[in-house]
Amino acid sequence: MKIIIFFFSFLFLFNLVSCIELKISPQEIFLNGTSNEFICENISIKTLEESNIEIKDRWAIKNFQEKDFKSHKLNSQDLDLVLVYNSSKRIINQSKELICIKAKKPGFYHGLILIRIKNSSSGIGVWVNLNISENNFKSKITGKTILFDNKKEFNYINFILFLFLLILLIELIFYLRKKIYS
Amino acid sequence: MKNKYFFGLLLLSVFLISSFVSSQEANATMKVRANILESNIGISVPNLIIMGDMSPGYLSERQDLNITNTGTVDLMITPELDENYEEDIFTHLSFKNILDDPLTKIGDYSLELLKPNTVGNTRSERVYMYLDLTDYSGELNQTLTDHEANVVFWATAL
Repeated sequence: MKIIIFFFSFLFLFNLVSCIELKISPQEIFLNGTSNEFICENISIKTLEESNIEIKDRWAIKNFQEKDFKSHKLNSQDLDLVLVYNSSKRIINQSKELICIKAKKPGFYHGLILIRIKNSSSGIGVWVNLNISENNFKSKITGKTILFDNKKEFNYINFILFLFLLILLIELIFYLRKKIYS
Repeated sequence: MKNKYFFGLLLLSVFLISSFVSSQEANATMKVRANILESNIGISVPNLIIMGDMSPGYLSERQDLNITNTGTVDLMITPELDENYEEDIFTHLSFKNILDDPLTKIGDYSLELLKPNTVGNTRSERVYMYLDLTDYSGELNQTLTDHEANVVFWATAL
């Protein structure tokens, strides 16, 4: 009996500790766009087991740029921002969540996308850097379009030359064999 | 005569092929391969701490919390009371990083937690938590049994 009492008292001396794990990437997103245009970015969410995820957002005052959690207390409506995402979601181990933001006025907005497993004791904040301009012009030419890949062409020529020499050698072997046995 | 001619051609092609192969080998580069994992934020925190019996005017027993960085970036950890908590008691939760530090109330406290030394490992930091009701000014007319609040430890990249 004493042993049982001792065992239970020993158990209550300890805090009940169990951990919940959550991983998010990227840690920070940079969004550039124009006013009244939706700009979107994917956030990858990983958990150890099937979980209910809660997502919310918070913002600092306009043009604030520091990564100071306590300075981010405004909601999106305070800054005339429109955010589109699933505020609660059930995920199995891994999922991607698309976050879309629209700002009505140009300027720099610094915010946090806060993600946590429902009722858990830990959560993760992804910093959002939203730069909105009024200019609607966008360049249609990208670096990739005009990129010339020299390396690929060089390998291609080498390969053709190698094939040509190989065919020539095979032809000669067959010809000599024919000569020797005839 | 023809045989000699073709034998000569054969030798020439063998020479050309071998020189081609050797030139390729001379230009060969060593391949280096690695899995470059995307940076991620990961945190692990105990989900229940029992503070025990408390009364206004007292400081609770010290509670040791282990907060673990399971990701790949340096973190700033900020504890925060759940927004639905409307009472006053747990607004007096206080923290310190080392025993010599003064207590810092929840809302003002944050902790830097560096990334693990190697990828795949974790790094833990011990934090001391108290319920500091020494300056509690509210009125408590009845015993609050199993009074609780959710505390969320928010992790953000430094």
